[in-house]
Amino acid sequence: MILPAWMGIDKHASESAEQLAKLGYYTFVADIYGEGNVPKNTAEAGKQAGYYKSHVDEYRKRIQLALDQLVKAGANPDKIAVIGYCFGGTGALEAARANMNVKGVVSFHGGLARDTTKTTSSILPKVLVCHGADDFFIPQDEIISFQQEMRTSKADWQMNYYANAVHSFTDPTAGNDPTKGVAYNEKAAKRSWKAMLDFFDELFINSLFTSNAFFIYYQPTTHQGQKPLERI
Amino acid sequence: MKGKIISCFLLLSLCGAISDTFAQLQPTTYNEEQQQLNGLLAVPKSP
Repeated sequence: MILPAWMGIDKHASESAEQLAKLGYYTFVADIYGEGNVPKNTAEAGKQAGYYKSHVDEYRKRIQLALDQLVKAGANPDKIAVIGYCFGGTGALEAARANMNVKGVVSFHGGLARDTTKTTSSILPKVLVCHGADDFFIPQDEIISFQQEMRTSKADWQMNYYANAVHSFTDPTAGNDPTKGVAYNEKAAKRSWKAMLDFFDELFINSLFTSNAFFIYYQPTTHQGQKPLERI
Repeated sequence: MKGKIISCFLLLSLCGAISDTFAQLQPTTYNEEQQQLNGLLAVPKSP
């Protein structure tokens, strides 16, 4: 499932969904804001995203509703990951903090702060954070607090830093001037996408091979005297 | 030979067309109490 950035469902989230579907994943792009509330500009986006960041339970509720839609569409409820960009990356972390029924979450250049009114409990989904090394929208103390939260919650977490990458580094529409603090970085985008796919392999494929329900049958050549079918 | 080339081309075009259908996004509406939410669904043909 994909949680979009602060402007709502955009081209970047839609294209990511298309790419994931081509790779064989059921993919649902969540609508957090709802009908009639799609931001027309960054000021409105800031207001909308700010509301859900400060009302985490409502954000979590809408993430769960989107997960329900994904399952209704036919996705295996025990093999789901949540990914998100920027504001959506924050949402992906909230899905982990709420221990929603997901195997893992991936945050791309997302805010890392948590609602400090909530107690830190064990985090069961695996966590991957893909972070621009030069993203000054995420303060250093927020990073340190996040990493401490991951340790306290005994999460299985990873945090990748991408050199020369600033905020929105995965979004081709973010421009190419990193001095503005927001810019696309092709190398970081490709590396982080690959990191996500490797993470998915770990979440979904490895568990397949350890499942008792998974057998390999092999058909030997049909020479005389051989058994027609053997399980290996 | 020419027929084989044309057949091969048509087959590849068909594969491309099928691949494109994998990528189609379907608008999906759902609700949170009284509010309508408008998500996008992409379903692979062979998950």
